[in-house]
Amino acid sequence: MFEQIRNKYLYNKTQIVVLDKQGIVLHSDDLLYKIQKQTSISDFHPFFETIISLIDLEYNEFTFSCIHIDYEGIKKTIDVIFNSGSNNENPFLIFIDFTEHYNNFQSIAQEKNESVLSFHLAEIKNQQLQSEKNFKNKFLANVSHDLKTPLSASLWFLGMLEKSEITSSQKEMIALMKETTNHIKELVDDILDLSKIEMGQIKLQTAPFDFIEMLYHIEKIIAPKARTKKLDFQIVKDKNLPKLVVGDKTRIVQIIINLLDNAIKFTKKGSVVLSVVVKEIESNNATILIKVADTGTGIKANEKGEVFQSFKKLHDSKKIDGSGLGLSIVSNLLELMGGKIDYQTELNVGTTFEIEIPLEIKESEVGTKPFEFIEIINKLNVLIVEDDEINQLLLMKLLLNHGGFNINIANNGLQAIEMVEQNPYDLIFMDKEMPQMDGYQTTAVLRKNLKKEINSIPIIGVSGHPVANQKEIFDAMGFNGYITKPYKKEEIYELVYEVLKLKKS
Amino acid sequence: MNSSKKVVLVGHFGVGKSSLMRRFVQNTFSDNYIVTIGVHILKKEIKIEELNLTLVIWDIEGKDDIQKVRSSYLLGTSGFIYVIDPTRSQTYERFNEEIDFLKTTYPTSKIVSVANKSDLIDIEEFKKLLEQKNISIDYFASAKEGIEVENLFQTIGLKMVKNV
Repeated sequence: MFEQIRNKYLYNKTQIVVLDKQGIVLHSDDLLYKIQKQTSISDFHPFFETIISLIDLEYNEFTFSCIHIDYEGIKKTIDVIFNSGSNNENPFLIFIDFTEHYNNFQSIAQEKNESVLSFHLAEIKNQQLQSEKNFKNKFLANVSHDLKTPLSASLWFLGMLEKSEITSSQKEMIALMKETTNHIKELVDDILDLSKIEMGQIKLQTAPFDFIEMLYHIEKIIAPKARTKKLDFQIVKDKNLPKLVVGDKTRIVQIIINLLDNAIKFTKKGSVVLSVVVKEIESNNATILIKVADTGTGIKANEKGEVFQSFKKLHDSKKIDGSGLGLSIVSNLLELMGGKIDYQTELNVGTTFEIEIPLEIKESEVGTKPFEFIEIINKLNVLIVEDDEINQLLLMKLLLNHGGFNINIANNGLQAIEMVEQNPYDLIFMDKEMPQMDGYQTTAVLRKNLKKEINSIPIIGVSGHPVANQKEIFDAMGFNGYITKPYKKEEIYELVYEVLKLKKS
Repeated sequence: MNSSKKVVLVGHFGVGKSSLMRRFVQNTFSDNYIVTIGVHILKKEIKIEELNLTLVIWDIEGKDDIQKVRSSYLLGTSGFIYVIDPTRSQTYERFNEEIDFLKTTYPTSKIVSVANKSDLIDIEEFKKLLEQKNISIDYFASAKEGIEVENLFQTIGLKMVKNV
């Protein structure tokens, strides 16, 4: 019985070869390979050259696993047992055919090694892509940065030129140039922002801020744009919205304005609605859900996957401006904030973008520093540069109520320049928008004055219509601080203390 | 005069040991990676001055540690070719240790080292990196392009014959 089974299953899986002391084949049962007798075993396959060198080591037995022998068209993977024999016994070899077993093992090893190698290849590819992306971003960031300064200067000079005595057709040309330059500047700002985000150079600057006031600020920026396109613009606020929150206000404003700008851009008629609600509150953490809904062109089904890709302009229409960066910036900034973005759209009906921003709620009693009045014993000379009489009176009244200021008023920039030459001032409030010479131009002239007592006077910018990046613009133009109308007296006083570095003694 | 020597290709899996052997013996190359299990043996005769030397080349399965190689495969080895893949740092991280092990365990054997796939790298940059790591590689070859393969085997042959 055993013999039968052995013969059936094991007999044809082995081969025995007997050699002489020189490695010549004396006998072979040839069950696996047909080996020529009276020839060197090394002629059968180069593997056996090693065997011959081992014949002298008497009474030794060696096992060699997994040897691939391909001989006269027969390919097998065998284990070889070699016995070196003795004085009285010839050396012999036993071949055991494990082809099937090793083939199975080969498939497993192939799969394992291939997965390791493809992971490695993917890693290399990733590194290459990342380094190419970094190079691109660095290049774009450098170029954008270098473009920003001359562009700002061009805009400033165009503004000056616009206010000089020129013909109406020249005015039209300048307005067109301003619009084009502004468009380039927006594009450059977007590229710079996106490059910085992708290089991980944008760090969120979180601080407590007034969320409701931020919405008013956004309204001031967006409402005129909507009016220009004769669109209805509304802000719908949840009455439970927290007032004081902790987050990066500048970036949140950028996100919302980008979405609103986008909505206005793609809406020919109808409305743009910004709605802001609290989605959930857990202890001091709130998730704010912000929706921007328009009645615009909508997004085509085949473009839905590409909405947040950089440089992807949906709508091929050349009539619609845009770099295709706005939504990519929004999505990247939200990712940085741990927020998310989604949208619903219907072609020719409209699009609603929904974003969620997690924010920490700051309890007002903890979050706001109570206003601390600082008494100014030696009165400071303040010049208010403002063309609007009501605004003049309002600001003057607030400052006089404090009791620490002597007030002078200049009705325009030219008058202000004359007045600072004649009187020493500790501080100037400069309205941004004035006829003849605006606040930017007047400040630029004062900053270029050769007298240190004049060029170093602290100047606070006052803006009735703040634009995006208003703070950066004021900073770049040499202002020491800025405030937007309408303002509260505490805000004015605190700003003055900050700009003049006044501390409670 | 004729002679025969056993040369074993060692190194991690996927570094191109089989490709180097096939390029040298059969002058062929395939981009398809086929894992070697166990050992494939081929031979080729080269000429070292007046000597016809048959290199019996053992292409053994790749191991990340030379000490894990079946010792029976290394019996009677006259020369080792240690192969690394310059695009995978894991394949040369322990290079000096591995070479020391071979020198200590097989003191009479000769060793030549080679960075295969050099067509994929900036060789000068890679040499700088190796210098920082204090690694000395004899050949920067490419089985794919057939670069330095002949020289590599010729050198191990010469070293074995001249015992240098």
